[in-house]
Amino acid sequence: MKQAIDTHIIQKFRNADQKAFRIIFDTLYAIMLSFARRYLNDTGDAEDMVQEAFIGLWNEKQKFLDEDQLKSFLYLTIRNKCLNRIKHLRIKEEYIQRNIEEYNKDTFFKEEVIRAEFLAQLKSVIDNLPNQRRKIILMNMNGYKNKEIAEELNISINTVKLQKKIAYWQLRKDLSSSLPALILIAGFFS
Amino acid sequence: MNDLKELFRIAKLIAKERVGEITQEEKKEIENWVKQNPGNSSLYKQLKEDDDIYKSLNNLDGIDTKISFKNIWNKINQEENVNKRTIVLPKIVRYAAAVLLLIASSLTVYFVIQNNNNQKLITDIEPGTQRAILITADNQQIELGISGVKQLFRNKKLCITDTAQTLTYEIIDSPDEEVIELEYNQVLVPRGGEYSLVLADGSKVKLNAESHLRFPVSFDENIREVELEGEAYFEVQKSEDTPFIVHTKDIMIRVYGTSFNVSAYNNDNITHTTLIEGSVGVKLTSADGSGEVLLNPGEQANYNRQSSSIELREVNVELYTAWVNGLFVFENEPLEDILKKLSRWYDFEVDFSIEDLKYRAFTGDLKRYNEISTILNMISIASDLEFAIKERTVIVSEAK
Repeated sequence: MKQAIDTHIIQKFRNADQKAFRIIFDTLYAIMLSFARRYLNDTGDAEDMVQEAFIGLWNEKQKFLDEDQLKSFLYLTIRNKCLNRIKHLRIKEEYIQRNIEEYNKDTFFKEEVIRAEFLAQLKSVIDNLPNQRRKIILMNMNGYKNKEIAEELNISINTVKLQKKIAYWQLRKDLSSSLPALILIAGFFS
Repeated sequence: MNDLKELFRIAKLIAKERVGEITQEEKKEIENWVKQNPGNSSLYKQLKEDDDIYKSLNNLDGIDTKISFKNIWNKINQEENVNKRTIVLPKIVRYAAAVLLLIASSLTVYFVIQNNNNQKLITDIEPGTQRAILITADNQQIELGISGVKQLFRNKKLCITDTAQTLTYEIIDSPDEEVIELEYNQVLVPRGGEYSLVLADGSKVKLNAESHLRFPVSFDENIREVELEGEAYFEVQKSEDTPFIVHTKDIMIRVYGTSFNVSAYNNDNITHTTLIEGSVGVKLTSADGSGEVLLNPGEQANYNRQSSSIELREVNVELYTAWVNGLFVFENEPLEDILKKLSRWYDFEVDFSIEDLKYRAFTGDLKRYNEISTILNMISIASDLEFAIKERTVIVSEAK
């Protein structure tokens, strides 16, 4: 079971609640780590930067009103720490061929944030799917054919097609996300 | 900071597109962003086509946060100890507090479920079992679900059998042209029960807790009609000439041969009809001829008492039929609704100590045949909530 980072959690976090902090940490740590690793290949270094960033988050807890602000703080802080670390390493060991200019660029940062968030959102959307549908989607994304999926999960090909069809209908819908699907008032014409 | 919100938005949309959950408008948003510069275009291509995404997602799952969190929490404490002076309670106050707690907890017999799992189990609530009551046409009440196979009734045309979980009506083909009278039986499933039936035409019905089905012992040639209150999963035998109709208090469902789930509890505001396979039509009980809404597989018709209208939408059918396979499946569902469904199966009352807690939302799947404490534990671990069981009431509060 998973609980989302909602206003309750943020409020408790601002009030220095450890459990709330833990929930925030558990939700965001993995993705922040994968983001840091795009700057620093060395896992040990990346972990240090991310942990320092979370400590910084805790120290500034009063500042945050929503999840987006938390994430923004983390991405920016981790980037700064990673860049400092790269500079530090470059000075210490000349043979490391890091083109620091590339990492400094705003475009690199923006792309890596999108990449990290994409993965996090993908995981979140997929994790929220019911068991069977989640497995079907994952296998489909991994290039498995309908027949292989049906065999692996021990279900009929029709079920696989049906689940995919549901996804396809969503794609085709011309309705914006704010309009509910067809509302019919039965009995109105009688 | 605002720049990042836009990045978060784009990332979310690309992820939605990847699982096929995107609208046309959202797709346009992506297109506009892609056009902005070649960097965006190339990144988009990478994210869209990456077939190793399975690996990346698995890597995310593999990261353990326990040790890392311990690390940072220790560091945070060290920093804070440098800043503050620790206040030590005088000995007497500390012991007094401990004694008070002891007295309080021995007054009532209950146990508290918290995420540190220190408490010992004193009472628990067992899950439901296969049980129901059959009420015959002449008002005889027969208890179902008692072990073994029992033949409840047999004559030349009809045989009614009860195994420990299924009540079966079987028409025996005999050379006599004798027609069986249209008699109605009822099966009542109490709170804490579930039961299955096979009707005279071979249609299968599984009834959930707190449900009631009224049905003919053998079916008429022209029409097959049953009445439902509560929740049932149907697998109806196809018969072009003889439509199958399910009547509930507010709506009627015309079945064209198929599998679907109906949830029509009197104490719910909405009646859900979910179609898995085949075809059904739903309309108001009060309506005549017109206004039937036809469903396609994967669709759900919802009748809302407050608006008196039938609304159609696409759903994940697994959410609405998981109970048939022994599971509860929730997707962003408020705790109030979760506990309502659990309370029918386990037969308990719910008490929210804070009104707000009703609206905490959860996602996950749970096995139906565990004790309630197992389920409440899982919810507790994933949140800042605490559950206590007092006799047959579950009390929801916030962990201190």
